[in-house]
Amino acid sequence: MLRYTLYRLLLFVPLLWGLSVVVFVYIHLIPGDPVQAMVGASASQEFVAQLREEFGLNRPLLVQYVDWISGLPAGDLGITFRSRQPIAPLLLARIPATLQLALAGLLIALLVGLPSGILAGLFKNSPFDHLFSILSLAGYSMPLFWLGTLLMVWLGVSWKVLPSQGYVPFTQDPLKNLQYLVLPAVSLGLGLGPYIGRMARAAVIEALQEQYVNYAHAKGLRMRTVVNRYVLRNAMISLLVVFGLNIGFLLSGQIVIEELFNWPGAGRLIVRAVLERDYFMIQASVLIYASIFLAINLLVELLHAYLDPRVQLK
Amino acid sequence: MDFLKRLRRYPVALAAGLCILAVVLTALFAPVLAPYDPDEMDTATRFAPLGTPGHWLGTDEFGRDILSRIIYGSRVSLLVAFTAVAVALAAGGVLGVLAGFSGGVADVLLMRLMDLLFAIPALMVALGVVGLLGPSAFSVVVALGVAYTPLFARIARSAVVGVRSAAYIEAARAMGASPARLIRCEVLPNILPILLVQVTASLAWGILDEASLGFLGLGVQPPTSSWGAMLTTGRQYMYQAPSIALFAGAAVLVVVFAFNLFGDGLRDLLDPRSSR
Repeated sequence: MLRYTLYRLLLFVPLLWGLSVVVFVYIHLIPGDPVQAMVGASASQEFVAQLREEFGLNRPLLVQYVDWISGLPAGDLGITFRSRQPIAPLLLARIPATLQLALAGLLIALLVGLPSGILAGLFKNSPFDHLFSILSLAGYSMPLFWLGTLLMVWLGVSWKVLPSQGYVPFTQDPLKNLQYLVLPAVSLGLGLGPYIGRMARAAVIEALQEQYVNYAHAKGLRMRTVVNRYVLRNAMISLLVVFGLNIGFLLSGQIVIEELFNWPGAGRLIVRAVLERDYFMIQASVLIYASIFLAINLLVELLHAYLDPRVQLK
Repeated sequence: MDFLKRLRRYPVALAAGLCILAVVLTALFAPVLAPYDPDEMDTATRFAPLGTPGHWLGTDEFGRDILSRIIYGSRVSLLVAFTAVAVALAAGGVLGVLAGFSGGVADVLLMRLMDLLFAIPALMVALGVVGLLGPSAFSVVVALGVAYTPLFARIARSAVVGVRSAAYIEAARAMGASPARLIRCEVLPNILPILLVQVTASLAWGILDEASLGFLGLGVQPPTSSWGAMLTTGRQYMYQAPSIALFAGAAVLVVVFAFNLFGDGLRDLLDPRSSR
């Protein structure tokens, strides 16, 4: 396992390096001049030249890259174009809200998706399975922000059961914080849940067809034992892999949900950066989001190899 | 014809296919079907409620007919999704086939680049591209095209690798077929079904992602009507005119649902083993 872990970590380094190159090149793909694009076409040439100097964009590309990447390990992501604030603390300040929403959304998605998907898989072709298939596909096809809007209007505005928009830090008022969390987390969870459910169903069906399940039945084990000890344990492994690959869905969905519920997470920062054409901010956020995505996938792969040692041999 | 006959055995997929056809026809014949010009403002009938004679789905903040805007909005959604998927299919397909067919260094390099792009969530890639080009329908097409390319490249590559060493390819090669001919006549027809299933699934995402970008204010710009943009305004005027957001979202849901159902049916039809 140690050898495998080291091997995966070793592969992770070039991937991160490649990511840094892609993200760095991004800003230089802008048609024309990035500074001109940020300040608008009406800005004078002198002003643009001055800004290029200020942000170091007039230096050779390689120098810019080395300068940029050498700052990254120390957490220096550069400064924003508009307010000239360091980017790292701005993003960092948004992490608690983003993380809280992501985890709560994930929890709800798992609570909704896993049991229903597993049941549908165990009772394949039953009326419940058919109902599950239709409902999960409909849920999977639903725009997250639409579901969020409906929930907001019904529960937040019409019935006034829950606050519809906003955020209070947990440290300030835990109860209020949780009240504000419910609607965005439920919207995110109900968006992701059908997907997890469909994956769980497929994983269970696949596990049910394995030889060891036949063997367990032949041994005369009770259905409950076969399911708990053989089917679910193996289904969870394949579910883990699929889940790792689709964590991007959670990250993307979160951006939209944060915008809808005025949840002050990192996602809103990115959307604002795109609207304001703050390329430095976009660059930094893409780097951070993609690194998180890669890191989660690395963890999933390692966990997969730990749970299913055959993976290490491949 | 054979395909249509076989499709009849999958009534749900067939119904979904008909629904998609209906939406495509609605988009094509929008000027005939829409009761009003979608941009025609009438301040006297602002926020007309649901069921108002003449404006059955009500009117928006400028008194524009919601039904007409949804009908015209289908044009943007479908056009953007179809073009973006076509871009991704062409780019990803070519890259994947080249990588899979040539093997060696080209394969490794191309696929690592695709892995990298794949590592960035699709909406993030799309946000980055829209940031570069500014919000417009064209940007959304490029953004989603770029975002979906790695997936098509991966699928095409693995499909090519799967058939590369098949006996019929060896036979064609032995008969002196050039690599270009091999790809065109032997490889492509055999990987087409796999790509086709992916195209259907991607069209569903394309419509969802276009709506998401529109909702974030980064899609098609006003006054052009698009479902995503209607959801944004619908949210602002949720109290006065709930039907804006309600029906625009429902339109997205129905079309995406139809594409997903059709894609599922298509997968079962083309590969009966996957039918569970």
